[in-house]
Amino acid sequence: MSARGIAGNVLAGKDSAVETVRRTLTAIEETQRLRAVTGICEDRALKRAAEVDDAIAAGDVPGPLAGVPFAAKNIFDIEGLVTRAGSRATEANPPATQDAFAIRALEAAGAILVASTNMDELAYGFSGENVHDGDTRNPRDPLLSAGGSSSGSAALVAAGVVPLALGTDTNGSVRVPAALSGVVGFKPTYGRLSRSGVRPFVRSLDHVGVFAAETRDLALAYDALQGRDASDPAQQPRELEPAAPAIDTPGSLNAARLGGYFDAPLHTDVRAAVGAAADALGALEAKMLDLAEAARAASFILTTAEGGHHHLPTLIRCPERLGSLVRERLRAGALVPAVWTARAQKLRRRVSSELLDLQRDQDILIAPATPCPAFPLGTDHWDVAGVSLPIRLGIGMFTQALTLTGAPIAVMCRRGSGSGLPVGIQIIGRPFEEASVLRAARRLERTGFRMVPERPRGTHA
Amino acid sequence: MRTYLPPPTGFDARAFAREAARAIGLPLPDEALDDVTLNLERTAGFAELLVSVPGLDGEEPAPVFRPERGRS
Repeated sequence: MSARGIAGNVLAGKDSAVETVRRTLTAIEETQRLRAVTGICEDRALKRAAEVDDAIAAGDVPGPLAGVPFAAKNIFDIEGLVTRAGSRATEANPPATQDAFAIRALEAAGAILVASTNMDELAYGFSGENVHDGDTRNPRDPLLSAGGSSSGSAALVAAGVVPLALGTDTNGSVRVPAALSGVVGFKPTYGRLSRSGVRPFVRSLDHVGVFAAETRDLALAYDALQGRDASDPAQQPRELEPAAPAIDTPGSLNAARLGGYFDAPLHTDVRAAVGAAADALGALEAKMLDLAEAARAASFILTTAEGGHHHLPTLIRCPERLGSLVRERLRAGALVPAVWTARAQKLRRRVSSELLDLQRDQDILIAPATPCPAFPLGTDHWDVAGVSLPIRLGIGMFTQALTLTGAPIAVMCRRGSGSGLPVGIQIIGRPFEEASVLRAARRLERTGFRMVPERPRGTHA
Repeated sequence: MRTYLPPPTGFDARAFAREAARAIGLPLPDEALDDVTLNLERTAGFAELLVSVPGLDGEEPAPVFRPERGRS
């Protein structure tokens, strides 16, 4: 059921938050095979649900997300628990002393945290493979990647276990799993949402993001997540700009699609989805972001260098606690010369200006989210339209090329007619114009960019 | 679309890794060298692509320090 449906029933007394949470906990147990969950907050969730029910019984309105269960990638602090970020290297850290800002914000709107979710180790990956916690499985086909790094959050929403989940996006870690798992994913503008209480990966690129099964739920969650927080120095001083009330507002949205770099390689299902999205939004013209490939390169450099620097103490003291894939990437990153990162920061300025120029007359730009649908877990190289992609990196080539700009981007999905799997489209807006992005997303949803959550066979749906 | 770009001619990533690791006090066991070298070569290839962007050296870098919001 949608978040809006759950909250409506709980507020109307047709259902209780406690019963909603109990059903969700049962669903988590029934879908353990997905390896989407790394921690279950049973006692806390039931206590919180009872508080919501008591408040409603007393005539209070706990918020627009009253009784709505949600999950959070285990990179978000949960009071009393160690924030593992999918790693063994973090296990000796002290427990968090308070919830992350994003968790507090959703709970202030009445939502209830029920679980923490699986992820690529330290958020450094796009595949959802994790040597410590097991590989997250895609609910659409458990042999396939759910995408990463926010793999468990996307998978739980795609399986219909929770209607909302929190993730983070540095190079595409919300957008890639949204596309491969077939859910709505949203990365607001860099600096819009507070990241306090989120374990850092690449501070200059890290975003808080959110997953939902449908756009109107996502808009409600996004609105709840807004709010000033002095503890995140990268957050911009913006007023609250709710997106949910105007999501169905008619009116023109000038749209174009990004061509050039974003035209290949594309699986036929992805190509068809781009065409369908362009038709639906009237995006007749192709625009060229000439620096897209360089932007992807710059993002790669900043990520490995900042990530390597951030985790240098771990690389020195206890490298054996890191999985080998992540460990050697971080070691290499720690050695990156400053001249490479300096050029990458200059490129960031240049490509952001280039994108803003394209957006002068375009409210919305569209681009593929990934080159292909979900690939089998354990795959190194995967053929996409005749190109052998190193898929753990290549699956993020279209998201990583845009991440430097900090633009707000939603991903909308539909089922590919050839593969039968989800394929996703990025909907790119101007900085701090999230409401336009979500309006465009809602329009696409109405034209068939919507996938109903489904439990995989064998998980006792 | 290029999947990986070649590192600059003459760049010895293995030797660089050994020396740079010593410079920052990073232990680098022999068994890690192959993978670290591969990752450095990939990064060098991406860095080389940026060298080819015209006029980039004169560009203002993206981060801007704001002293009134300097709290971390």
